[in-house]
Amino acid sequence: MLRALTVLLICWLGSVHAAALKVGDTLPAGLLFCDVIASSETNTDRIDLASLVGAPLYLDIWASWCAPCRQSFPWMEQQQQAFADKGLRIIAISIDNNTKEIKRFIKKNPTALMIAHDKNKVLPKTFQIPAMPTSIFIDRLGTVRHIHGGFTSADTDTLRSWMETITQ
Amino acid sequence: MKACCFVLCILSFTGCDMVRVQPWERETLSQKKMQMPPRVSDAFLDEHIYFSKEASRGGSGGGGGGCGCN
Repeated sequence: MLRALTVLLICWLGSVHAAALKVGDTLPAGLLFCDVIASSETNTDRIDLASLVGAPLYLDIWASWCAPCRQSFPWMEQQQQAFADKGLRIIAISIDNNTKEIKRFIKKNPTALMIAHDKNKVLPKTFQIPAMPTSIFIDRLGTVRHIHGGFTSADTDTLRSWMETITQ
Repeated sequence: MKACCFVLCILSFTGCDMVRVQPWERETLSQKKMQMPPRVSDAFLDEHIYFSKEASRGGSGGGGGGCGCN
């Protein structure tokens, strides 16, 4: 009985805090994979985010069911063009349950951005994202510099300044 | 043993406040079928009639969507 209670207690304590990446941590290799849905840059079906380290990364965690996520797309495309000469890579990573929803969204809203799919929701759990969408800024060394939750027009100045920081 | 069971019971109560829907788990909640009024247009009309007759509005719902961003 006591042993069973101890096991239960250990399981409970173990479920309380999962390991999470936070600002200042380095993107781990071989852990964060995404399926590539649309990209003009790569032909691979699956990508390890750590393999992109070397270029400043803006990861946008979004979903087709989230209205602010959909609103952020035109703005992200503008930034992709504005920061193209500085090598910024913007990757929109969907956490939709179904790939069909992503493809339907892209068909309705054609985009030049790289679209990936994290069907197991590893990224949101790893980064413990505070809201949808969440923007993750990673510098050329692979260090997570900033995590920003939500997207409104009031956030764009902050997001742009972080883009400038990681592209320096 | 009794003390151990008591402590475990108390801990299980504290566990309840950690159960919350995370932002990435809201896909089902954001579906139209999950909204409180079954037909939005009917609810809008009812609200309009209520406002016209009572000259007051509000208090009938909460703000924010399913994204956790509001």
